[in-house]
Amino acid sequence: MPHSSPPPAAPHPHNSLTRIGWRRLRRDRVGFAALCIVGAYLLLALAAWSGLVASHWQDEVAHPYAPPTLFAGSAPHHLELDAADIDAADRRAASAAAQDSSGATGLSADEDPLAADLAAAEQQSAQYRSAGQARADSLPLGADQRGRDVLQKLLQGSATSLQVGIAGALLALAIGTVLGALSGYFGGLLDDLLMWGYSVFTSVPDMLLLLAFAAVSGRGIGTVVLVMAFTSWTGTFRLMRAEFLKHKGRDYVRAADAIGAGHGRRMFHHILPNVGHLLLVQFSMLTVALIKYEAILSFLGFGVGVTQVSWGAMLAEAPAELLQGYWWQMLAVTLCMSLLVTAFSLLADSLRDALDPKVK
Amino acid sequence: MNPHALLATVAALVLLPAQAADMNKVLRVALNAPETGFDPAKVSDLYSSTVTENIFDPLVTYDYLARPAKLIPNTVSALPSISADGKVYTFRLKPGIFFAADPAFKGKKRELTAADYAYSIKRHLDPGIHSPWSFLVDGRFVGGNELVKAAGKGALNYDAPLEGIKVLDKYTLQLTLTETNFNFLPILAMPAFGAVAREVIKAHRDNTNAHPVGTGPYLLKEWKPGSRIVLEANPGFRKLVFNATPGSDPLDKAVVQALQGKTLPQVGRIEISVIEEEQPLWLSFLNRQLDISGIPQVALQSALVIDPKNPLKVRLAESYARQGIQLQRQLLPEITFHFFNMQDPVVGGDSKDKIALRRAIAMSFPVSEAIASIRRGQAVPMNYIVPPGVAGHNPAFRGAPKYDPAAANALLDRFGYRVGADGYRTRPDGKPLAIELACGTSSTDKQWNEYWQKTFDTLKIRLGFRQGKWNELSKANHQGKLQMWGMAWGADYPDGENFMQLLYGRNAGDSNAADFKNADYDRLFEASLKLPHGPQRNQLYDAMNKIAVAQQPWIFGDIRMRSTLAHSYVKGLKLHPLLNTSWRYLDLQK
Repeated sequence: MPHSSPPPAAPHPHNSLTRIGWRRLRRDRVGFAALCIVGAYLLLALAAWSGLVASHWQDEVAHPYAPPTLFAGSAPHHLELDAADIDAADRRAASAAAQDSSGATGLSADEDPLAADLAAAEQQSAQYRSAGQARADSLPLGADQRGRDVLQKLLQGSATSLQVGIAGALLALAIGTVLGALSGYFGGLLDDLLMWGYSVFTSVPDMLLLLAFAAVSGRGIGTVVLVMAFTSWTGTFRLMRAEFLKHKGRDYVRAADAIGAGHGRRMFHHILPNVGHLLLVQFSMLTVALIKYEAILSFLGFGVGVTQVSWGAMLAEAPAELLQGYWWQMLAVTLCMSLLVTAFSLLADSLRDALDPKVK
Repeated sequence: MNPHALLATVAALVLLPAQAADMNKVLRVALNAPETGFDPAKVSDLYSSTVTENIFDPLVTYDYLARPAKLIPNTVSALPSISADGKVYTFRLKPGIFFAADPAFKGKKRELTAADYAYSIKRHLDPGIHSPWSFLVDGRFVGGNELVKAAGKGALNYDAPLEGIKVLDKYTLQLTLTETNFNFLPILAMPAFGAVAREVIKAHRDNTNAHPVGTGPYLLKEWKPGSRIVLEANPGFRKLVFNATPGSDPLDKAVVQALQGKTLPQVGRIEISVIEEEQPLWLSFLNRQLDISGIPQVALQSALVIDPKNPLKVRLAESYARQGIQLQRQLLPEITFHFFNMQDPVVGGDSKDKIALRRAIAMSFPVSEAIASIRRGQAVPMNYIVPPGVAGHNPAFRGAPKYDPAAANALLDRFGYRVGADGYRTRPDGKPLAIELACGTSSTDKQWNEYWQKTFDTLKIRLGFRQGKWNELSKANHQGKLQMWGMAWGADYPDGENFMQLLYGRNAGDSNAADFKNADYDRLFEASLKLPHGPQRNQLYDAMNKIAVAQQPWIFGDIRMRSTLAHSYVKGLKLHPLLNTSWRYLDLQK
């Protein structure tokens, strides 16, 4: 029996908010450029994390404060002493003193409990000796006090700063979202309690809170991330609380309730995707803020330790260098940081525009 | 003292006090770190001492110009008579010296008497005060130990008779020591042993640090802790006229020319700011907001023209010399060193493998490189426990091990500190090896830490840093909780004993921060106490230095050269190795 089968339904264009947003972002030239810049930074950071680039940033490859190649002629020239100068002066002073008195003295071999072992160690030390490396007179971006390459430090520093910024922002977002969701969705006593906590946190100036946390915990990237997450979750909390308060009475949530969805499912499966675009914007703004906070913390000496480098740690060296006229490390970090922070901010702006469901 | 040394005397005429200081002359100086207070028996930091030195009068003091430093009478009419056995010191006070006015005196003029010094010295024994200087007086005075024991943990009974500290009459003080000691007098020149009045301490017993009342040239006018201190000339200060005959030194001539016949002090007001960061300190000096300043590390190269052949030979850069800025330099009577906690199970102990570990670390720390890059050549490596300029120094002794990280690695191999699979060494018994170094948080600390990291990386030993404030770390060290820490020790008085006692077993946990206990060292130290400065004592000091080098409780650091700048209108300045300040000798001629 002939029957007319309905024409196969053309696949409905999947016009989710994300896809619309992505299309809008592609059209926004500034936003797209910002996205590319942020992407490039992320790639570089990934390369640095995985050790593909700048893994030898601690090597002393140049003379102390070797200038950038382009400015080698105009850089300030101070006398930089090295260990050989000090040793030579010390030897002269010692030989002068030895002439005055009966001669140089010290611990003789038979008075030293380690004399025999030291003599033997001297014999066996060949495997640990390495030929001194020739040091460069100039580098593309110059060198720091110990002759380390500023470019390598910059790459490694970007990786650290991005790592801290992104990890801190994600953690802050997680704390803020969970607490905000609980507070807004359930309301009542729980809401009161969380709001009290929130008020306490926000009544203390951010920087003070940050330094207080940093002072009691140890050093290292992990601590910096935790400290910053614990101090910057409040904005997200407030936003999420308001959103959940608004959404929990909406029809679709009621419908979910009617078909028997539990609280957890309603909160995180139904409401959360509808406020996700706000989180994305929050995330980029927080990352920018945390990168700046990290710089401040490291500048004040509360940041990463000596085995790590970050933009803040590099900036902490700047005041001493500038007083002597060595400007390159500060300039390199400032430019690098401004570019990323500006790009991230523009991206956040464009994302907000692109993901706003009210704008068609 | 060599025959050419000039003889300078400060004539003190006891006349009616005459206010000579010009209150319009304001000296502006800065401290690099916050002061803690102004009770001489409670503070020991340099910054507080610069202030207490100008408020309180010790019995004896140093001649301003004579080098090497020479003790002269201060509130006494002559240096004390010392008994032939070196045990009894008798002081005769000058009459007519009065304390600065204070409500505690109820409007009466209060004369300085021998009883005030007896009280002030006893305060350092008082267990209730916890004087940081107690190591200088503990067990020194006849009957002192018994008195301290009787006090237990409470306050000392100041009124009980004490044979060792006796007031013979209103102006005569007699100190009797338990052991022969011809080197005791310089201790009494320290600001810590200046005279305080008992009624003032009693009246302000809750906060003696904020109420310093003495007989010195200045009094505390204003104090904002950690930020600003203002001193004003003491209107009741005894008349003191500068009178010296200069030798051939041009600096001495300039000082004498500026001060001869003038009543001290000349400057009426001293404003002291606390500026911890180097850059603002330096800029303040260049902008003439400070009259005297050191040169911060970062400005050394621009301010000084350094001769690379001899980094200590410098002259002031042309741009500063043209402004008439004066440069004065002085090798500080101090040592810097890092110590190991000798009671620690990992780095302490006197078995050969432990010594080898300490020796390997000492051999791998690039002292010369750190001097070149961090100190900018303005320091010399330390090679003897007693620094140059202090009685007992031996310039020919070479105590620092040769810098040789390769041999140090081989040495560790020999003693079973094997490199494990993770690239780090383990202890001979196979347990993991990790060492923690205590340090501060400043940017200079960070520079040093980078060198330490490098040292331990070359040795393939794990290193951790324990960052903290000085007083916190000091407390932790007293409890034996640190493994390694760096220290500087400046001379309290110019005698080697002040340095050799840093490793004396009985001072362990106190001034002996390394907790070093070595029977041979202690025996030699006790023998050296009985000898005056001379070749015989030097021989003992050499033997003690050899023990320290062989056992390696310390890693010898460096001895800093201090550069001080003053603007052209500051007259009368000459750095003194032991006096903290020259404020009372300065004049400003703008």
